Amino acid sequence: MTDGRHSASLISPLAAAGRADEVVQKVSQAIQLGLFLDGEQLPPETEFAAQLGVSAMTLREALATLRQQGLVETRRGRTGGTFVRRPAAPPLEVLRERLRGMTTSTLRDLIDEQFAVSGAAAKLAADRAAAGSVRRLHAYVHQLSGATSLGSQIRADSRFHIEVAIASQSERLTRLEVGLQTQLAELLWLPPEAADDAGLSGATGLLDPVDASGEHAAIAAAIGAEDGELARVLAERHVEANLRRLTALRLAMAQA
Amino acid sequence: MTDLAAAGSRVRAALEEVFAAAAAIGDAFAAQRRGCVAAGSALTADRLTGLREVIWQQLGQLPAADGAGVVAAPGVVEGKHRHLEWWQRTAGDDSAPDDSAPHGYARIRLNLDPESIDLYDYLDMDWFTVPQREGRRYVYGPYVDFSGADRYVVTITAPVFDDAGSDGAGGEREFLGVAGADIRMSHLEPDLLAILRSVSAPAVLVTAERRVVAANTAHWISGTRLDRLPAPGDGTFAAVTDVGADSGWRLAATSA
Repeated sequence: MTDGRHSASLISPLAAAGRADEVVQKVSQAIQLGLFLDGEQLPPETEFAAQLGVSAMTLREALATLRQQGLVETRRGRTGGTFVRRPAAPPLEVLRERLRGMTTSTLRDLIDEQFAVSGAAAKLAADRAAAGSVRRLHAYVHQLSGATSLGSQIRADSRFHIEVAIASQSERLTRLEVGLQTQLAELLWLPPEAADDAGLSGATGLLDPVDASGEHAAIAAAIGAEDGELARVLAERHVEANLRRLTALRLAMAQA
Repeated sequence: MTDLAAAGSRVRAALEEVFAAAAAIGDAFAAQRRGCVAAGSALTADRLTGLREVIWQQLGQLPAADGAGVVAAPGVVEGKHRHLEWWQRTAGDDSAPDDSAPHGYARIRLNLDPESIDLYDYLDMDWFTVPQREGRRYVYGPYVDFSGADRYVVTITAPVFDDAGSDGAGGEREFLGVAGADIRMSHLEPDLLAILRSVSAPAVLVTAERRVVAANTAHWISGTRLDRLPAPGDGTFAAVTDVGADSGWRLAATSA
């Protein structure tokens, strides 16, 4: 018999995050989604707090966290204010540090969630996608195959997956996929740590945008053809390849 | 089936109520533009803020609308290839209104930088292109709108034309953009269900894209897509009525 204490631990905390954390999540997702430009000034505190529906105090608390995460910076003086920081090139050292801090089983668990979310989203998208969504999916495929910088590859990749979730008509799957992309997209595109690793086998070499966009194109085509089972299988395989790559990248790292 | 036709006209009336708000906002937009032309001055983003009073007023009168505003055609607002003046209801009640906006409304901010991969390109979105191309009103969705905020909504839009240049005898009207409103499904669905329940037979409300908006039985699930558009005597449906109001929506009922 499981004792009550352990069963109870399966019940997720009620809004444990609190309102400030909720704001942090919303704003960092908006930055990840590209709704803000790099260097864009956030609205004045009172206005922004009103827009988010929180008190000025809550917003200040959230902005402090976002500053720590390096997603915003606050400048003082006449031209001061709070500005979004979203460098075009991802901070490789920070990302490597993040990956180093994860175990392979943590990675596997995270990608298990993506397996469930992306597979289901692709299946439902094939059943339900609007014509406009399918058009946008192909546009993101095109964007990825032609992306030349790491930053634009990461964004075209994650926007594709978010659009699949949007096409599924599910707000919840969309929210989950955005969260997953926030955590995984940048790691996936991490170049090998040392230059001489570049010659290593596919798993730890540079991710090829043409290969990735080819897989995206097949998923988009299955969604466009309203073939739900094919779309699901292709999306699941795509995620499984991510798991191999991230595990290989993590294992290739020098032990901390 | 008379109750089906009656239900159809009630759905139309619900949509027309939202279109009326869009028309009021669109008229104000056209008037603003005419005023600028008459004064020999450019329509600037600053002058467009004069529409805010009208937008707030319309949102105030229409609780079902979650957001409303105008989206300008390229170049209509001086120096702006893309520009929108769109306001949304805010969720919070602990917000402090700033000096210009009334309590409970916030202007949405989107990435309109054409150089950015994250551009929110409304010039490619059906709710903009259909009124632009066909000069008619449009009902888009329901869809997951992740650009404004995370929500499941129906967007209605109406083209705005400047008739000043035309002589009333078939002169070319200038397309200024669209005026519109978002309705959250969480607000719309209860109204639609009340209408659908007045139909004695199993009935479904479906968009031109075959998407189920609402149904009075669990046989059809909101957000899913039918295999084909309902037609009377197609083996499934006994009666079909067009909702009208430029929605492309159909209300269909089986015989039993």
